[in-house]
Amino acid sequence: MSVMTDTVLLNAKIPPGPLEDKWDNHKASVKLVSPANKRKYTIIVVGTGLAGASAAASLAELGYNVLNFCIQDSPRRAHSVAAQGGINAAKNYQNDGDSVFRLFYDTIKGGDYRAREANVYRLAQLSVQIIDQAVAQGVPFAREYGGYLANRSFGGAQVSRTFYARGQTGQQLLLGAYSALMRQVDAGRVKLLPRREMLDLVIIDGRARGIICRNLVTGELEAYAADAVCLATGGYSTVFFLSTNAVNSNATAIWRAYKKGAMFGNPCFTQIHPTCLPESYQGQSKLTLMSESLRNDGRVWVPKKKGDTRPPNEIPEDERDYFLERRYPAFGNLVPRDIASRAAKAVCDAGFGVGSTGRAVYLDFADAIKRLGVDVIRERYGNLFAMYHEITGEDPYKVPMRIYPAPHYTMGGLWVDYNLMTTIPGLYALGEANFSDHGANRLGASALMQGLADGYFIIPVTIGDFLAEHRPDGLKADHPAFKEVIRNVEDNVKRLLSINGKRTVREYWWELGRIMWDNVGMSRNAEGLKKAISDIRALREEYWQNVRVPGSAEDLNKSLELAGRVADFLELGELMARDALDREESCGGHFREEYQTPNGEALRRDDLFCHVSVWEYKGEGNDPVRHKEPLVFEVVKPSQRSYK
Amino acid sequence: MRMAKPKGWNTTVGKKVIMGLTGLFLVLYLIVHLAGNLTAFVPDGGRTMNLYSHTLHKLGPLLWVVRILLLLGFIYHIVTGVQVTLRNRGARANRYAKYASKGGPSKMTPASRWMIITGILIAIFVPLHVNMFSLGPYYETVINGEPMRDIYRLVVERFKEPGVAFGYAAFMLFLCAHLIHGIWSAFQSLGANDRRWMPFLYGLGTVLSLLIAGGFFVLPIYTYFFIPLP
Amino acid sequence: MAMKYHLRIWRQAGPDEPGRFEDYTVDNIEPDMSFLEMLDILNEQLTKEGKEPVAFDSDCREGICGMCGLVIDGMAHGPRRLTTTCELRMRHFPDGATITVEPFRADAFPVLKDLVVDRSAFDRIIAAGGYISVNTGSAPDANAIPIPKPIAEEAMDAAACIGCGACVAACPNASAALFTAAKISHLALLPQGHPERERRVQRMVAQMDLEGFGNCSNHGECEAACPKGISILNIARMRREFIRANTRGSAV
Repeated sequence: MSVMTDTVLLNAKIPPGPLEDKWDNHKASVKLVSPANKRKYTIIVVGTGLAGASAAASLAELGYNVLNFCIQDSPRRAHSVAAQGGINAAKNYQNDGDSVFRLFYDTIKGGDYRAREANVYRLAQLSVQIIDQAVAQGVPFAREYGGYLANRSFGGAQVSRTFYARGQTGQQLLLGAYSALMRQVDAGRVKLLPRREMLDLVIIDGRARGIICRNLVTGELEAYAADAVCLATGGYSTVFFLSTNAVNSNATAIWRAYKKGAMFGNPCFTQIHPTCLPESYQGQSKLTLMSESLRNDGRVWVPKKKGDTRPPNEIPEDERDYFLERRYPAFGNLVPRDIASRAAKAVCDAGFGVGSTGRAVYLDFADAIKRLGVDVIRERYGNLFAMYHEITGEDPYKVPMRIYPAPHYTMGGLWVDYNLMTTIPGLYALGEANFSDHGANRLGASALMQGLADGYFIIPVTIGDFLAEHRPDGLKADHPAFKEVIRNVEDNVKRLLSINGKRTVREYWWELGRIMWDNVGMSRNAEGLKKAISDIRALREEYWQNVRVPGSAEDLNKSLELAGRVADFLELGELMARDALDREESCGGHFREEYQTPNGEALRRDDLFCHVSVWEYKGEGNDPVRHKEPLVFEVVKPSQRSYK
Repeated sequence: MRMAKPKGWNTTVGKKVIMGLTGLFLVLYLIVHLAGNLTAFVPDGGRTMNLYSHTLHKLGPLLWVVRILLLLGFIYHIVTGVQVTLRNRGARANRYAKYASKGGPSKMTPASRWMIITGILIAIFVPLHVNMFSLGPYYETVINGEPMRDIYRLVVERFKEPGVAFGYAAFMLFLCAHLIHGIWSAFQSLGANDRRWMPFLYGLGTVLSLLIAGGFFVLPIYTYFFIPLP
Repeated sequence: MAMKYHLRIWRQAGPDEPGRFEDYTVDNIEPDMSFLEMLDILNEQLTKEGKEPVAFDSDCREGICGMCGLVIDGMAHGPRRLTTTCELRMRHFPDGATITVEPFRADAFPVLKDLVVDRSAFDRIIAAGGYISVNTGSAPDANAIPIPKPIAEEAMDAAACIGCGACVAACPNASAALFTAAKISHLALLPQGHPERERRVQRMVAQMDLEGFGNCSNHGECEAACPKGISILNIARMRREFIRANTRGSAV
């Protein structure tokens, strides 16, 4: 294997100086745009989730003209809204020894040493200001009787640093960012463009200068010019078809940027969340997440006998296998997400799974109810139990829940430098859309933190550094470069509509999801990954010959929207498999069966894979090229994780 | 339906405040009016009622102030009510093929849905009522050596006519329906409601409307059957 | 156990086109399936038959984004209380039932296509004042202003609004009072929201009216339909805020 590094191509631009001073040094040295000049610049922000809305609002507050796009009917619906648990911040309000360094350390370790030290340290530093900002906006975080903010603990940390608003922290933080955004809309600094889907990036003289999007109501292709483009379009877990993500979440914006030259970092790093409702019937569109906090009191088990069809309450105690407690006596049911997920998969693969499909394990609260009483359990988890009851029709106070892991978050994304700029000058990626600060595994309550740090505090500083060097030139969207890209997009749309084959878009999406889940899911091996690559190629080929997309391009057409997204998934899925095949080690959410310790734990290979894998598109029909950004650890020393 | 940007009391919220204020004012008047009506039950051949009426008339200019205020409140309540209803009709030009309530905390009743109907019926009733009694024949009587209007006689005479007695009583059912939604709703429209007050205000509204409308309802029926012509 | 349903669904090609009901039958529906998954199956069926699928909005499919919303048998989000359309399960409908599906109807929510409506009026109401004017970076420490727990909880109750528009759909007057009041209430309860409270309520109410929503007649149908159970007491609070603002004579 080549150990070529690409320090010139992939200059992360990490500022000099000690870790704790890097961000301050950077802020002191970036170039600035004067207030009078800011209004001459236009910035496109695609996406209105935590990263997009906070970026659009903050950039507008600075005086830039912002065009903000989203695919939903309102910016308030971006999928950040669904985050339940909370947001981490190193406030140390609990006096339990938390600090910026400790949050930094937990995040680096939780990510299995596959993230940049400088980025993660900055993230931990900014976490503190995020909470201040949110409270000032009116985010109703949980409070103690004294009126001060409450915290809860979360997986992967030994301190209590998670701020929360019931089980709707994402919603409340998003509504905070949305309100800041709408204030700027009212002030005329942000032009909001909902029900628009970005379908391509326009590059002029090597710089990102605009986007082409489809008006999802009229079907019209619209061109928008700007001085810089920020993509905050979220992750791509929906490549698996069934995931905890919203059904409209997609990779199209970042994928089309990738095909225009923005390199893709660590595409195979995906997080599979252990406590989700299992797949239980044909036609299911979604795997609902049940908060990780349930594992505090629930015990996970399967029957000891294969294919045991008795109702769970009739299986005696000594015929149950509490496999997490058995395999990980020290952490028991509270092992990290990736470990819990893999263990559940292992018992189901071995034929011990429960439920109609055999792809589920029990999460049992009977002991906790006996120990604490039903009232305590109701107080702690009442809303989750009600949600479970409503969905499945079963009462978890009486019958154990059935759970199974599901795709939840993608740590991979567009590669960005310390300034959040991709390899295309003037194109930025924020939040889950970038390859992120979470390494190979994200800790709970860190996604909200990262999205908001990127949008509120990082991009407003770093984008000026770029714009100061590129004077506004009054570029309009009638420039010939836009016309050409529009033509390509139009051809693509027409092509999809003209195939008129036999199978629906959803059928292909479902089938791709199967291939991804079986081979590029919780555990991977070379053989499966190679098979996935060839299966995806075959499926993609068939797709372009046999898909049926009803309706026309000239009006609201949900099938057409989906068709474009699935076409991109069919390419992205292959890159994910390729990256997983290339990374011959196990780390965080990426588990290669060939690389495990004798007792079945992940085996990281720091000598060979302590790098970000960065993929460059080389045109249709050509294999993409993998570059490496080496990860240098100056402060923390990578060690093997153990939870025995 | 787009319109010019409304301000202050001209907004939908402002109009509801006006509805609530005028509504409660009219309810207060109804209570005073009812107190007067109930004097008819005193078995003294109308002495108490006539004295009550005479005392009121001795207020002179003050009575006129009250009358004008009442008239204004009444008209304001009607005009605003009609405006509110027209706007509501216009807010959903395309109706549902099927419409149902989920119940639960809903306060929707036929009474709340038919406020405009019961309101219009009351608006028709009031002038007829004023014409029949206040502007009706002037009978005179002498009490304690003082000549005064014998309103009692007029009331009993009229309520001996079955059409008047039962018609009047029927209108009181509409009044009851109007008040059952109107009274608690007025407090809610004035913002005078919170978690603790809600059950009380809703209960108060119901009880008060039954008492007021009930009182007005009983008088003609009782008179028709039990009070002899003086 | 697979079930069968007859559907009467509103079809409308565009905002200015006339609409009509069309009848469909779906089979093999699982009781655990959500209402939208049942419609997904119908759409697959229609696509295969060469017909155009029924357009409807949805996104998170777990009851929090507020994107979905249908009037099912005359009820916004269907017959279950505290449930969004995406959370509604088919087991609540008897096998063989005929189900009527309509869009949220209000002049302020024009139909874009079939069951998809334009709720951007809500965004304009928020833009008129549903925020606290604090620029990024100018916030004091989060614990600088203590907020009593019951107040914070009450603010959270109001802030739980998902902006789905069921309140408007269920209101006999198509009023947006509950939506507007929830935001005004949320911000009026918190000390951070006080500096702008008068301006906020006046501007938001004016915008609400400008959008063409009806009056609130205190029917309380909004609360019954609200998937988050937001109370009409918030409407009372909005009116208090409104009276306060209009009797203090502060400028809009």
